[in-house]
Amino acid sequence: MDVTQFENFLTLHEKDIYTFCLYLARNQQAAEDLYQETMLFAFETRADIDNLQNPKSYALAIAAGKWKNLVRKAGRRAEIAPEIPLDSAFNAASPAENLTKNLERQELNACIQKGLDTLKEKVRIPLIMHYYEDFSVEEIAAALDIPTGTVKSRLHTGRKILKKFLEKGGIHEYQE
Amino acid sequence: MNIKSSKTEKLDSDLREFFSERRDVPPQVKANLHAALLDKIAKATETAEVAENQQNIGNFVHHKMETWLYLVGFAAAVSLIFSAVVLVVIGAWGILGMLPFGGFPIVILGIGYYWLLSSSAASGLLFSQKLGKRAI
Repeated sequence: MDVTQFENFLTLHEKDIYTFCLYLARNQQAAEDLYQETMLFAFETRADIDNLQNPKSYALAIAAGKWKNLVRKAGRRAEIAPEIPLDSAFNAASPAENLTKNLERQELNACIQKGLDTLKEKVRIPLIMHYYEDFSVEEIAAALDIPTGTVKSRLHTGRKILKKFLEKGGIHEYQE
Repeated sequence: MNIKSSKTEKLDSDLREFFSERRDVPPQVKANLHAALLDKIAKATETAEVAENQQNIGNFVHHKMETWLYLVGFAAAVSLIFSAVVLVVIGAWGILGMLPFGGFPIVILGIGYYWLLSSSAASGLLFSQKLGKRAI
């Protein structure tokens, strides 16, 4: 993969990779740093990308690995950068949309966000890959280099914790 | 059981909706990121090229130095053999009584000269070998 091909790859996937970094880091500045590091590493190893079936999953795996290393080195997530509400980092909905948007939905989203923040990285990363990137269990297993059984178990754990969180959060549909 | 599976399905669709609503980053952020990354890539490429050039220059200098040092070592070895032959001839000449004082002063001077020459040649050879190995 030469520099021009890499730029094309970048144009095609940068949004998804950056958003994935944003979900991991939960802080715009930290996400930007993680994204730059990920893509620089991908650029340095671009020769390997030619032989891959899914280059995007390769970049996501780099981001996940780098993020896990960062968290391990920092000891705690909070040592890296303060967490911010992610909604401010995305394209904000117009005021009219906000008005019409169901209040319950907003409450649910806030609760999901909080629930996601409480998950451990090893559970959160497969969950984001599955629901945000629409990766299958096999694709997640290949990207993170873990068995498919482990991915299934982590997805199940993540859902279970989130469900409990929503129940406790008073979300009507999740109450017994 | 049905309640549980319906809750799971609900969570599944809620999570999908949650993530689908949070996909688009502001265009300005995207543009800045793109520009910053391309800048970093250009710098990384430049640094890699400079490092490669430096490595090439370093290899060339080492190769040249190695050649010269081996030549010096070879010259020292040749001169060592030549002076050994000269010393033997002078010694024989002295023993035969054809030189003043039986040729002893010349023989002693010759041994001193030979010792100096051989030690400097040996250290020269060792030095050139060491540098040659480092260059490789």
